[in-house]
Amino acid sequence: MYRRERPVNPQFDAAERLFRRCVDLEIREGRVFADQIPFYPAMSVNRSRYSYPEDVIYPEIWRCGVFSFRVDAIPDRYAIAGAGYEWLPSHEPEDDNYAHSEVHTLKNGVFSQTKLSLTVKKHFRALLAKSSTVEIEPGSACPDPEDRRGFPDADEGNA
Amino acid sequence: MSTAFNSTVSQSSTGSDSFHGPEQSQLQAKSQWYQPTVIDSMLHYEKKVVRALRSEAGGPAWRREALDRLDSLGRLETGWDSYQAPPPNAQARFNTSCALVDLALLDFPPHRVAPSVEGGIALAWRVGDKDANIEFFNTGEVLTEIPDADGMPMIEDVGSEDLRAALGRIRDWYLLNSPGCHANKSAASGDRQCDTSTPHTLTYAQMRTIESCKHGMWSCADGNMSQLHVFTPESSRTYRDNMER
Repeated sequence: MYRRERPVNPQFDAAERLFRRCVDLEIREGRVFADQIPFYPAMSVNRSRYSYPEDVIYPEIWRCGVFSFRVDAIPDRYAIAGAGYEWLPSHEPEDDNYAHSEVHTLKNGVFSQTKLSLTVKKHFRALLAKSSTVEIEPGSACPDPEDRRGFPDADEGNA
Repeated sequence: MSTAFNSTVSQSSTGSDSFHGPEQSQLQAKSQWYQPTVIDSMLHYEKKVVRALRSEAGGPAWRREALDRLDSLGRLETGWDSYQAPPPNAQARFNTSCALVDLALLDFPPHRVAPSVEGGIALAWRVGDKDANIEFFNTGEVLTEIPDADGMPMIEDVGSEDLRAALGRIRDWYLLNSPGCHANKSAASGDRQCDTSTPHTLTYAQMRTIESCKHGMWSCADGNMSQLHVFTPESSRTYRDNMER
């Protein structure tokens, strides 16, 4: 999971999945309710190219679950009240989490951290919930770090 | 910003299924002067409302369970989602309790009462692979999400006068998509039929849907009509006119 001086990889495959923690969602049929999907102008996720689902609950948040969505399921464009919104994935590696990425909100083509209306947020959350699946149900993850596997593409891009 | 507060207090305190407890007159009196920005007063008021609703004789069991759930959600702490989600505040809980009154009038229990990671409370319904919900935010804003015919979520900001109407629209969506009614499955074919073992009361929203169908066959039992009817656009208009009378 450590970055080990690997470079930023801005390329996301359409089928790549993005992982995020969730708590007890009262999950039904492996689907996520929209009220459990948050909105942040830069929403933190882990990309599946460099991590497994359980990495977002490692090492001490085992009570949580994990949901995921595909990159091509990120809502496309949304226009309301004269403004256009779109969302794009961005690889934002951290020293101890190379897979860390963010889904950025662009307002009129510019990444903006300003407060958005609840309508825009809810639109984003509803569409994301629609295409999200539960990877690990809350509380069901293995608490034994020894059981963890190696990372996918662990050596890819090593400097 | 819209709030459901004032209107729902008014609707609830005049509804036939609301606030029949011993504190009814106090609640009605308070609703005339209450200001939603006074959080301490709201917390006090919310407790009184919940107590009154819970003590109401004949209230549905699901509403009491939902009120218990609201109580428990009030004990959440910031970061309950493992990130930074705020707990539902008194205003969100109060607005939700008002909605539960309206839902009892509609005989339409929510499938789920949950905290929203955006700060507030969500009531949700699920039919097959589709969800509808209404969220009561800590800011006082209320938004609904109802899937359209293609399953795409339609977001609506519920104005202060529209809470009961908004809940009615969710119920309409639910009835149209419920297993007993196959109207949604054959929109293109024009062969719309309700399962006669599951009587339905057709709403105006449903009637509008029927009207968009060239020839539709429906059976319904709503007190006025209990036999099989074949609707064309013309006859559906006649039916609606009769309903309005």
